[in-house]
Amino acid sequence: MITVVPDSSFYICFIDDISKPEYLIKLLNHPSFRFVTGQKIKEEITRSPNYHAVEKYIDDYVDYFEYYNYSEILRPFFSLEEIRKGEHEVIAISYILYILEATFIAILDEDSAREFIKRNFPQLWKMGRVMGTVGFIKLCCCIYHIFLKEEAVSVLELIKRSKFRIKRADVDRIIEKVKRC
Amino acid sequence: MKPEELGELEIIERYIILLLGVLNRPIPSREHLQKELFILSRVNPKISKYITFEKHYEGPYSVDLAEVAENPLYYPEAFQVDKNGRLWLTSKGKGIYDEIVRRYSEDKGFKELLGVMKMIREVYERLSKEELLFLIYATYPEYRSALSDELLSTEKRRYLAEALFKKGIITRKRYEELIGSDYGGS
Repeated sequence: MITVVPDSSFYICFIDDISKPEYLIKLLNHPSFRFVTGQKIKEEITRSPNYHAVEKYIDDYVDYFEYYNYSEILRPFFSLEEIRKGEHEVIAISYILYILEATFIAILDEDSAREFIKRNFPQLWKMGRVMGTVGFIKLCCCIYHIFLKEEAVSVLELIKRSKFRIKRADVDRIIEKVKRC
Repeated sequence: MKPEELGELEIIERYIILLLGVLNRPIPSREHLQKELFILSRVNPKISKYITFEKHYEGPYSVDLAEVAENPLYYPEAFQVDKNGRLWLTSKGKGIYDEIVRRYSEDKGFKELLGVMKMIREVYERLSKEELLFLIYATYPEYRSALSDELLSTEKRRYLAEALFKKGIITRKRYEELIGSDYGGS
């Protein structure tokens, strides 16, 4: 089983941006994955006006990384906005999973957070387990076969037209890869 | 000295040994030791029961920690400090570290604690003393002092924020926040 550590924008993408919570639920309760979250990420997703649509599933299927206040480790290096979204918490939890020799995927949609990993924790970056939401959708289609190709393309098209922060060209590139896999 | 105080000092010495043991290199300065354990106490507030950080000229500072780092009572030959404040584990200290790790090897919380310590050392030891103090003052305004006024002055703030951004250790948004005119710390 692979541990998945998504940032808040991953959840918000399904709940608010494309209004397809059913796809998120499908991922959360899939036996290939164990989703984990931290305090800051959870706080941010509970602010969603549509959180109620997934609340039960998040309570049931998302484990809370709870021993420590992981978000404090990297707080001085990130902006208040980034801290609110919990990007730094994803990095801290991923690092602990790396130390614990767990197989994990970190989902980070902000370039700045990915750049931070690349510069400061190259050992994490080199493992190739850091990706964005659209990259994870491709993986769920092409490797784990959780989504049919048509389903994945449909979700990616919705993301492309939504307010989710990503370049259209980047989504198109992923769509092409999904079609060819 | 009361027995309970001795107990607390032993715990502080153990934290120093663990922090030194997670990476096979010295902690670069006394300031790094103080601030790394301060960050650890923010991550794991239970540590605040044993190490009390007070507002000091150089930000959050624990007198007990400073004392036991120089003159350990329970593990007198476990670590050494040189004249520049660099701290490292002796071979005896490495043995004590291995023994503590072995004793708690089945404890998930303990394993995570070692991971947290390692992460703190990896990232905070990329900072010079000045950069370290600057970021601590900027992030924890409750520990600001006369020195922080100097480090947080507009000119110095811009200089340090640029250096940190070039190093790739702060994000662009954090850089913009640190040099911003409405800056008030986080």
